[in-house]
Amino acid sequence: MVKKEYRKKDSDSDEELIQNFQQGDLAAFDVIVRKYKDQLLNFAFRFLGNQEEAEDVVQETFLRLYRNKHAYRKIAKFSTWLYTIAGNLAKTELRKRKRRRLVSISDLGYEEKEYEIEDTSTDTERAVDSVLKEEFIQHAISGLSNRFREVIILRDIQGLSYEEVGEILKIPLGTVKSRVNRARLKLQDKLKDIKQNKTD
Amino acid sequence: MAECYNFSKKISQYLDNELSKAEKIQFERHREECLSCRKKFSEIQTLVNYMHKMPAKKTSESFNVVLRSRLRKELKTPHKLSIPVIRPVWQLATLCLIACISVYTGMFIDRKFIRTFNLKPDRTSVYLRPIRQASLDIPKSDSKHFKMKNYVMDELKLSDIANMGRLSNYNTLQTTDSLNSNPPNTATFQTANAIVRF
Ligand SMILES: [Zn+2]
Repeated sequence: MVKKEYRKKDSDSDEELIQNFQQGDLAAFDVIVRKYKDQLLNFAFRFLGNQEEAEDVVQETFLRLYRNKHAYRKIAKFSTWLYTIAGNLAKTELRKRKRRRLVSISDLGYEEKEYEIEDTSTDTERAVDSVLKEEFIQHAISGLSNRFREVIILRDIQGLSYEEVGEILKIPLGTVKSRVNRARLKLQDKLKDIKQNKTD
Repeated sequence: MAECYNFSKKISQYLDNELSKAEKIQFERHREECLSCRKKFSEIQTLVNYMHKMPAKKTSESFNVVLRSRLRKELKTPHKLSIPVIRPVWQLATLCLIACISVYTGMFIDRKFIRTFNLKPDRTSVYLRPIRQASLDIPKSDSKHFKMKNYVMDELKLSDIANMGRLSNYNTLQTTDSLNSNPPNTATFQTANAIVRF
């Protein structure tokens, strides 16, 4: 089985891979995992802002793929199908976290700790565009509602096309375009707020 | 102002090269004329460019090992339910269907039971379904530690049902035929299966 793994090439198209996997070729599954684990992780991480939770979401995505391989139909692009699963799982994780936070806030009395940003930069680094640091953006993204958060991550961080974003989120192209724009404007506003709070 | 509003709506389409030639010219003209829009545009442009270049996070080294062990477990315990990702709409629909069936079967319940304990199934969402004759007792003082096995049914309040609901989705209740023909504080009821949701 190990040898077979190497015979499979990453250059095989996704649709070929899933088809082979559906016919029982486990090596195809390995190739899919290798090909998608990091980009799905980045997606989940940007969504959740937490490595551990993001890994769990990606693990679960592959487990679902394994379990439900026959649920995939050729009508959708394989990658968007996988993203839809991961996205739904990430949203579920956020809901769970909200419930946990409700409990922990009343129990422990902390709320904003989770999102506090450590400022370790020196004065020179703290230049005009310091607001554009990765953590600031991550922080701002986690302040967006799910529907804006998901489009901004898929489009601007994962670099997917409008069409792919529409397919993943099951929304029409026109909606994708206007939502991406609104999400970017909102994100920029959030960044400004963060910058304001930093300098106050 | 209306022009500024239109401008801000088109920033992304401009950046993503989705505007027609005429729209593009109009867009650029306003950008030249309006300082605040120019500023806004350049902020969004910088932000988008930055996000495209943000370093990608990667899975940890243990990822494959963990996945493998989870898969092995998966293979040992085949899944009874093989459902793809169910969208919330369908989850809601399924829940409604279950509720409808429960309400329908609940119509066979002894009305007296509902009157006796002043239960309003529609308001409390207690669905009752008769199954078989059995005996069940609940001590007055011990409603928190409610268990399925033979307790003396003393008094069954809505709060008791609430406690049961939290303990388990399915509990067997005993309901009376006649309150008067039995010893005080004991009631013989038609047995019902209750699904309690809050
Ligand atoms: Zn303007």
